[in-house]
Amino acid sequence: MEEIDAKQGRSKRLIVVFGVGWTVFSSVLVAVGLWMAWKAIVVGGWDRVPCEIERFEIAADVSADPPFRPDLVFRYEVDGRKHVGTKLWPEKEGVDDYEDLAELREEILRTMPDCRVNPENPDESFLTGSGVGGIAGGLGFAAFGGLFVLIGLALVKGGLGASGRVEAKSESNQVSPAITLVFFLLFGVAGLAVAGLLVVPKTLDWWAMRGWEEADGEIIWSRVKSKRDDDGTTYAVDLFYRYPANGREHRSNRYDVIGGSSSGSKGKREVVKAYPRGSSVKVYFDPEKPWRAVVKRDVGWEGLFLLFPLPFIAVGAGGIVWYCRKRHEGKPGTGPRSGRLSPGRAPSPRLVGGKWSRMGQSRVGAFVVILIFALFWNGGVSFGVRDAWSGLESGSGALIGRIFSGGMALFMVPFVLVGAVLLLLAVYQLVAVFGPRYEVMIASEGLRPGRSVAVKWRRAGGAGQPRDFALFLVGKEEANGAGESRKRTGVSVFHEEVLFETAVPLAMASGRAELRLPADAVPTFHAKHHRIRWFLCLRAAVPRLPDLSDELEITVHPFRKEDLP
Amino acid sequence: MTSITIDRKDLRPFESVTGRVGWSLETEPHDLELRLCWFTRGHGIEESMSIASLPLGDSARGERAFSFELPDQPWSLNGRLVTIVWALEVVAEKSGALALEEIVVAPERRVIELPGIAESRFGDVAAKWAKRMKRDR
Repeated sequence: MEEIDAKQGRSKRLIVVFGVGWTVFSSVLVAVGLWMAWKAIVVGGWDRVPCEIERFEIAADVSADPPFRPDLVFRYEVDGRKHVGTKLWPEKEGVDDYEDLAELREEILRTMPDCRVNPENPDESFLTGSGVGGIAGGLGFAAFGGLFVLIGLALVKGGLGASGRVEAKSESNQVSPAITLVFFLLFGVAGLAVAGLLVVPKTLDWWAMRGWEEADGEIIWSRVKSKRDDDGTTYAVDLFYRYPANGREHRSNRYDVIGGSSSGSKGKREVVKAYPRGSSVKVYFDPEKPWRAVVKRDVGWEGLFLLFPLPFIAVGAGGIVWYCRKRHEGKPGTGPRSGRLSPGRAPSPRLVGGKWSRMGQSRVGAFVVILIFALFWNGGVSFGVRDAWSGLESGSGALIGRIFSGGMALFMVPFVLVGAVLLLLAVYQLVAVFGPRYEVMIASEGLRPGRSVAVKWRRAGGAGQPRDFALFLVGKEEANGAGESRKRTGVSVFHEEVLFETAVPLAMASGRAELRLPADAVPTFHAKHHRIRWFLCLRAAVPRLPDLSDELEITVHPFRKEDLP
Repeated sequence: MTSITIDRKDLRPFESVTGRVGWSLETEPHDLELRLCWFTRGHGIEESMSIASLPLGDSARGERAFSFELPDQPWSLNGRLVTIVWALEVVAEKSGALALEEIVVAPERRVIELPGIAESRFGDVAAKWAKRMKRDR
């Protein structure tokens, strides 16, 4: 016990140190975000001065980064002195997407806004600021960092908490509820942010593009653009084209609906090869905003990427619901000062007296969960495999590059195998959906040690005829944090009794048996980390289908005062 | 020096656990109290629950009788994974536990032993596979 306490003490110190480091690092993100917001506020406060736009063209240079820059000249007057401005934004030089700049130009030429002039240096000016967007962006970044700071603080709090008192024992060696909540919040917010900033706008775009008009354009430049970062190199098709629309010539470099870059360059090189400089290209443009155009408006299988945030939202929302339910059940680790076990801890009886209940978990639900997980896992793994494959296939790199790709391919093998097992499991679970289903009913509730009650069962659908059928009464003890690693939930069976067993098909369809609890049976007990549970278990071997292995928890109550033996 | 004297240590649910508690401390304690509680021992994450408590005041010395009514459960038991122990404990806010006396709460007045069924079909699948693999090796 002392050894365990010492280990826990060391882990707590480690958690505190880690939490402090994490908090300090995350605070930098908060500071950067606040600095960005402050800067946006400062330049937003510069004087508004009427100006005259002399020229607003968009300069395109394939060798520049970013390739599209405003070629702008505007004139304004401060204290009777004339000034010339050339900056569109206070900080930014250009953009990667021509459409963004074209849209901004249309808006500026239509509204003719005032320019912003530095009151301390009237030569310094710009035409449009990030304004509220810049402030919101900075604050958003600070809030994002703030979530990480919260995690750090929760870690520190979790590590510092816990005294030597009796109640505190249950709190040791477990994750702080605050960390759990922040973790789920982070997941949910990340999923919602991706959905809100990417999925919804792209989906609306795709929907709107169905009504866009066709035009014959001409390629100005075409190339595969590569971007190198910590995750490796990603590639994007970069087609810059001109096209006639509404009696004017427009330009755009939007290729498809989703945009962005991804690993693998082979397909992208083929696209670029099909559209050399000067060749014609069919484009689709927005008749109401003709500067908006796209070459490929079908999403294809890449549209599945738009489902990417769904698991994050599901995990976040599910986790928060779970957390709220837990909170509702009672504050963890603190028991009532008097009386019995907290009612919130008491098990909710799955098997209700006088009512038919389906044996086992929802098979469709299990299939859906496994399928989603398998798709998510394999989707993630496919990126790594594609990276490794394209590295091996390209042959462009030196020997070291090929060795790295080979190593990457070997590294991916276990992940691919797990993915294959998950898919097999999903298929198995799908087949299991069609297996026989059974319902059971006990005549009354209030099961107590030494008492007996009638159990009925009946077939409730599904295909296949079991070869044999058996109903068991099973008692299990469970402990969280069992095993050498203290991470596992250990299960040990202390009671196993056959209530009914048959190989006769007619007897399997429906029947009745007596369930007698042993006189020395221990009542159902549900604490936070330890449980005594009783189950009705059904086992049946079904030819050509997965065997049935269903169970339903039953509640064994303690003796009432007057019933004590 | 703190002592808990219990009149009867083998008890049944709903009975009262009675006795005397005496304490003699070097300094005046903060929130000294006698608690009736259960806790787990052995496997898994330890947990405990305080069922009732009796404040003993802030004086450094004293003695008094106590009586707590026991609830219907949990029962004292000793299983492969779950071991539940009932106890009376004297606790001070700063010093922590000063004395602890175990009692038994069960219908038959003795700790219930939960047998482990070694080859059960309904046990821990992961543990079963691990054991099988160890045996095969």
